[in-house]
Amino acid sequence: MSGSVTVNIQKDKCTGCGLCRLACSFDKNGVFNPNASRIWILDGDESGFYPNICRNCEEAPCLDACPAGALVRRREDGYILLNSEKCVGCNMCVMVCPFCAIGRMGDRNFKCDTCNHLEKCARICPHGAIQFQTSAHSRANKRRKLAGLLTAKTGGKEKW
Amino acid sequence: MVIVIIGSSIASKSALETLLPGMKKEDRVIIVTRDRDLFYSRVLLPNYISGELEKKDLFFASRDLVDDRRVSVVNEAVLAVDADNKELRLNSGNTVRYDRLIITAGASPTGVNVDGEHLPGVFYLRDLEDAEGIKDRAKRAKSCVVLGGGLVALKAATAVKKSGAQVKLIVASSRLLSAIADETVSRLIFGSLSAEGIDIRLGASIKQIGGNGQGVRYVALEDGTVIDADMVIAGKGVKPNIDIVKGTGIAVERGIIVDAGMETTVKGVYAAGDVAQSMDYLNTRTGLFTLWPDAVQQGRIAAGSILGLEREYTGGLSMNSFVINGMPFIIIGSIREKDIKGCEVYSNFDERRQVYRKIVIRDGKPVGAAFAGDISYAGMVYWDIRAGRAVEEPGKYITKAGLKQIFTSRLF
Repeated sequence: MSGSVTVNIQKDKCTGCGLCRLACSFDKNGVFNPNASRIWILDGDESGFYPNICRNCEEAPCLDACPAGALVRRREDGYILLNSEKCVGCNMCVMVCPFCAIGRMGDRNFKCDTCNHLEKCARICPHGAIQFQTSAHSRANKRRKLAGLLTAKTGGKEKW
Repeated sequence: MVIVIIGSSIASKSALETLLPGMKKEDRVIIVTRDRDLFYSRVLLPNYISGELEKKDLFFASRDLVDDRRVSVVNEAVLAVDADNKELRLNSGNTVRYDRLIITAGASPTGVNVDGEHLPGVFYLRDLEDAEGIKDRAKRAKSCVVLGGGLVALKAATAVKKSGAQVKLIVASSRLLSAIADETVSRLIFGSLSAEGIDIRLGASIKQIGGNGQGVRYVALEDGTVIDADMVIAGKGVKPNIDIVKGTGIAVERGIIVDAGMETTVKGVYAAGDVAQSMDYLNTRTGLFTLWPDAVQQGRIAAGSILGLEREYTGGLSMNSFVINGMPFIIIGSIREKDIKGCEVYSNFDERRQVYRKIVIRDGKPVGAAFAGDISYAGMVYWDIRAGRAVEEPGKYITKAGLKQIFTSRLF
């Protein structure tokens, strides 16, 4: 299950428009503020642009570095989540992230959480430069989760 | 097979998590620990003292992890390992037999060794019980003296300060964090702590802790200064808990010597975490890498070795990340002046922005880096150091724009 979400970035499709950063910050903080975004755009000058975001590493150094138990893999799809309730903002995860995809604001660190499967950045990108892909195995898990949500177990209250 | 794990901190948890899915149905794990509470993060204790975290927030894993019919917990301190008979002798006189043993016994604080060190109100900061004692005393304390200039001392000082007491930091060395920091980083930390209202005395040695039955009243320094204090916290470093293997064939130096599979010099006995002395990432010397990520990996590898997985420890690399009064610091590898003689050193201090960056290069490869005020791209530099990636344009490592350029060029 681990690492079954892969983040596929097609830099040649990125125009650097920044819509993904706005969508991200709006979803997470309720404001259009690129500085609050969990996705970054690197300007390669004449080579174009690169949307940089957590790649959900198979062997993720951040998971081993967190002394607060704030970083865990989500059970259903193996995506790494940072629980801001547990985070103490120590930057240990920042220090070991090879993709420089963990930020810090206030006294907490933050990273992409796939907008709880809604993947706002990928959805808003007009050119399909960002794609979250899940393996067949994790899709099966997703289906099981959906099935669970529709049955009495959850009282049908959660939204998919 | 009976696998015994001594200790219940992160290396222990990491070992247990690796063992459970991989071991045979009839295998058993016994955790022997003197900790009243299992799986809490010692790193977070200062945040607990300051009131930022509650006790429930200190746990990095749930106790449910040991709710497995194959796992049992013995809440006792280990007196000694008897490697010949493959058993542990416990404080109570009981024994626990093992087929495989993983020692994650951690470390204990170094004593202050002066008159008055046992007075009520003198604390170390290692265990939850210590933190509870400090937290309770700090509520009533007017003036607290913290001894030591290491990370634990600095964090203890800021935590107690937040609870309202006056805090004086007494440091024997001529600079703060002298074990890992260079002159500039020490100076920046000094500034950050001072701005928080902490009074710092460098190059000062303690002579005596004075008081009565009620507890500490003052701290006397070698130079004759007497400081009023109703509590003292000693943060003079730690030493690995190696006494339990004395007289066995398990080799020790400063810690328990382990190989890349975390096995000690006695077959079937492994060590991980703060108690282990392991090879460094350059494969040139062994050392104590008392770091969280190393404890995680070492616990996993020790368990993996028992399960027959061939996975090797990639070696320890000194690295630290901390935030003082809102200012972030990251130190990776060697940056101290005395450790980097003969190296190429590039550094840049922006006084106005209070941003410092430094890169240390030996034989064309980065071996140390420092970030203060702005830690952007520290992750890339960390992996460059670990991988020994050749530095092409060193000047770029000490500006944000330069680092961004290096990072960007690698993605294209």
